[in-house]
Amino acid sequence: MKKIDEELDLIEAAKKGDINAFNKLIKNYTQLIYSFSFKVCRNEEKAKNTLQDTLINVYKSLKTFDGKSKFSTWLYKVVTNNCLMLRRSEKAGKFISVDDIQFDSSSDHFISSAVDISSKETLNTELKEKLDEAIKKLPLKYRLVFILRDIEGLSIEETKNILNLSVPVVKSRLHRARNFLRNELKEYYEAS
Amino acid sequence: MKLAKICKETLDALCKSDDLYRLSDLPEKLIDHIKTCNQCASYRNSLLETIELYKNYDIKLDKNTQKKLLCNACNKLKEDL
Repeated sequence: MKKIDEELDLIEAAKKGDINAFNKLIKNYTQLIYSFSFKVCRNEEKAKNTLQDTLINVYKSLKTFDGKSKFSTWLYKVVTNNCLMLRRSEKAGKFISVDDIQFDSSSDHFISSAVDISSKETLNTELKEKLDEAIKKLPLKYRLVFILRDIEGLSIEETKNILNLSVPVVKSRLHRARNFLRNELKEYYEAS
Repeated sequence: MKLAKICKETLDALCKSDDLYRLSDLPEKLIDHIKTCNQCASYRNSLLETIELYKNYDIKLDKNTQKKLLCNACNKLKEDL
């Protein structure tokens, strides 16, 4: 309870323009944003871009957070929108990598130091490639539902609210995504 | 292979279930069927395994990078203000 109150205080302070409060608030969520973005785009650099954009967009749109949902649920909505925007820019050929952005020399900001924490013992390179390949084949609208519901563990109700969909549509996309990925990985199950 | 009506119903319900682990949102009839039908039980297991594989495949930002990204975002915001 204390933690939630503390978070609400930070949100209120950040809404009033306190950047230090925003910093304290968001630092607990950077991993969540980065990890979610990676799961959607399957690319570390794109995930870094999304994280960068999301941090700025969260601050700018914090005023729209009304506290009716959990802060993390609201955050998923912002990251999802950034993932979709990134996809649109890619399609329009406007994607700029964070590595192409010039920063002043004193700010050695975007060092590529993402650490792979997937269990190396259990997930070998071949399997990772297979997983990447399978999920990349899945259209984004199905992928987002699968990641939010099954990987991030949000409920169907929360997923519906984040994506502005109806429950039947979420269920139908979930059906398609689960079945598709399961079939794509069928060889793996049969071999093991 | 032609699936029995109950199997089709079960596979459909599994793919749409909000609780694949405990099956709390499935009708009793289908839960009982999964207990006895190898095909449906194995289908459910492969769905669960698929989810677990993706859950285990994650990446992490180290603290140093995390700090630098945050600093950068805050500096950009300060510039905008």
